[in-house]
Amino acid sequence: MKILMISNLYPPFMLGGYELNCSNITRALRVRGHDVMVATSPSRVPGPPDPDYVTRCLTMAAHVPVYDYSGSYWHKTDISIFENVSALQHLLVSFVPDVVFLWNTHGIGTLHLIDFLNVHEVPWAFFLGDRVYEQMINAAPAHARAVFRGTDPQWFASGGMMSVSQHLVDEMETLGHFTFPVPPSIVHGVAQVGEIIEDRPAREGRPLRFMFAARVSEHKGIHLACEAVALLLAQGVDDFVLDVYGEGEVAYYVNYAHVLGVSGHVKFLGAVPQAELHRQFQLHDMFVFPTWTREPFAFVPFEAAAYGCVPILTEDCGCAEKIVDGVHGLKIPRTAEALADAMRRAVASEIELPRMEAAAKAMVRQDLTLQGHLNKLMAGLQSQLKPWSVERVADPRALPLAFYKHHLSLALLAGVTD
Amino acid sequence: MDQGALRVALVSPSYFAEDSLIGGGERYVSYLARALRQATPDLPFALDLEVFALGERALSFLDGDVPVTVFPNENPQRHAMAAMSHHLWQALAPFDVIHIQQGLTFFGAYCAVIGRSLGKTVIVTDLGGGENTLMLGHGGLCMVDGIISISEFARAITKTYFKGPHIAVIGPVDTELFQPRPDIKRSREVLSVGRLLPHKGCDRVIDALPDGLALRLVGRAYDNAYFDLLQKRAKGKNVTFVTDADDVALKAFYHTAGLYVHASTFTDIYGNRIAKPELMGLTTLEALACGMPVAVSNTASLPELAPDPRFSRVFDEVAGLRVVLEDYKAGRWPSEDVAGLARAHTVENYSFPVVGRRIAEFYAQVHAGRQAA
Repeated sequence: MKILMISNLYPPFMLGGYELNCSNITRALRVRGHDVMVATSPSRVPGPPDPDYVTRCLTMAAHVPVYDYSGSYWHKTDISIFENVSALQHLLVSFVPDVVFLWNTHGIGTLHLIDFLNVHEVPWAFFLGDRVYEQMINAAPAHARAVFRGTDPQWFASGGMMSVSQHLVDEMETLGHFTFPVPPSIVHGVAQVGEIIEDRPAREGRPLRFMFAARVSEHKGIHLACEAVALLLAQGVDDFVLDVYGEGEVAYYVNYAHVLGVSGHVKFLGAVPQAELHRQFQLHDMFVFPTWTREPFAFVPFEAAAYGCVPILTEDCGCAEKIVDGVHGLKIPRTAEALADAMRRAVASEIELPRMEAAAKAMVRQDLTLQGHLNKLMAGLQSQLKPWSVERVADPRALPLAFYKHHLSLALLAGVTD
Repeated sequence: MDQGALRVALVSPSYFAEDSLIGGGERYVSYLARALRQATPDLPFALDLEVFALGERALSFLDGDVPVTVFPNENPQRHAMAAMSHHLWQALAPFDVIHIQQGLTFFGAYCAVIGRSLGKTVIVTDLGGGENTLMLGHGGLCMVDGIISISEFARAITKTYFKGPHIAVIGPVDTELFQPRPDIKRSREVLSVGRLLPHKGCDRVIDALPDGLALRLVGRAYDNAYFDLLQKRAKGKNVTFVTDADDVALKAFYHTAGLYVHASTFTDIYGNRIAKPELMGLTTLEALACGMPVAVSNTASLPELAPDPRFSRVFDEVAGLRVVLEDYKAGRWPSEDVAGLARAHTVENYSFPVVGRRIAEFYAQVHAGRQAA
């Protein structure tokens, strides 16, 4: 199958798992023999030369310094960037994909890209790893979106929708005040893990080893982890350590841990390569992930689980959909007290960790495999296939129409009437 | 809708009613809808027709027997020519041809992108409501498949921007409503109908009026300063102003006056230049339909309405109009009773069935050409 992937970011520059997953899936699809082209934006991070199937032809308006958050900023990020529609047209005509596969489109003028595909009846699918649609709907007033039929979910959500979690679908529908015309198929994430090569040290005679691996920031819950440690120490529970991996607001939280008096138990170890992280999963007992409720579906707790590092995670985040409480891990309210209580029970051996390790490993290695993930994605793409006309996309009037739509919507935002 | 019929939607930023707008543009849409309906039985193909307009609130009614649906304007900027509604996406989806009225305005551009996106045959008509930057300055007419201009003058304005199918069709006028009344004796009064605005050239008619001839100026006074000026210039002359005439009164004036004058100008009395003073002089057509001889200025589309010197004259400036009025006063022109000629010319060229057929055939031709392409 010829697949045109569209992603706002692509390695080496990444902000999160969405673009990393896009990259991993692209490679995996190519290994399967599919002809995959990736359209993305320039990377600000230096790296090796891009493979020839990656074209950095898109303009990116988000995740850059912004000095004016006026309406036109939101228009660019989620409504329309004419240059990106032009790039899309060029790729459709030159590459002639069987299907266009949208990933994170925040920042590249989402609504107009979808509208262009719909107007020219090009089949498309969307892998929703974050709340792109909610951002699109709330980015501009309805009358400005109406130029792209952006008030009609039957139009802008008419492609093949796949979501990383039901939690994310619910969130988008609630915040976006719309309903997907066809419920998205849920394609939970993938845990790309290797063989287990390290034997977890025997529990007896050593402290229980917790780890945290995510962006060191409040939304991932690092503050709760530090506070939970403080609560445990206050209760006299000290036979444990918490190792923190990741970048972010490290200086702030190093100081925060110091102020809480937990520096002896919380170690900030910075970012490590993925292989090293996977080794650490095998050396730690539990994975602490008190992330924010709106976490769509982070892969890292599942990667940890695949190595028997049992997750403790927020009970109502997207990841929780795949975890049965007490079987594959522990689901907790997002409070320091609840996290401290779960950690205390583990330290006190009130939890059968070996049984959970086995169950967690089995679940991830059976349910969240790359091949299984690819099969689901391919089924989603296959369901969208239909003939489309290159001539129609290449029509000399196709791009002018996009030009007028772009500027009409800008004029509506600006209150221009002539 | 008839499955095999050509399905046509007329789209307008306003509609002809007291709670919307009452102007030539709105009257044109209403006339056009009824003209198409009257022409339909004699067409070689079936034609389904609906009208969509925008207004302050949702509304639906029949104009003649043509369904009209009004959607609320969703643009926070309330300018009528910038009206828009997301409902048009779904409403227009079943149609083959989208005929956009006020096609050069912001509204026109909005409807054109919808029509083009839906893959419809898009036809526009300029009714003088404005000139949107995108449509003219940036080539927006490329979204359009055809243009119907309401005069050769109107066609000349847009033809430099558009090289596709383009016709000029003057009319329609309601020749059933506006008919001669041979039972009523006409006076030798001169009649001029239209909003009392500087570009209508009412001052020129007053200035040209010879002693011994009466003039009746009928129209709303939208410009107080200009109205004062007209009243001052009319002192000592036999001039009557009627600023509140309804359609019944208007018809009565057409039946009782002897000569109709349409004196619009490119340069008004204050020196202001007007780009499109008259795209089509509908009141002149109404007067002709009632059997009146007419005198029109050599301005914009007006000379196109005066092809036969037996019942129509064209004048340049005030001096030229004075010559016409002196001839009329002296009985030198018209030289005969021309009511029948004027009426016949109007019915043959501008009546609902005639204009409706020409426009319906243009729809079919453009639609077929687009499908073939």
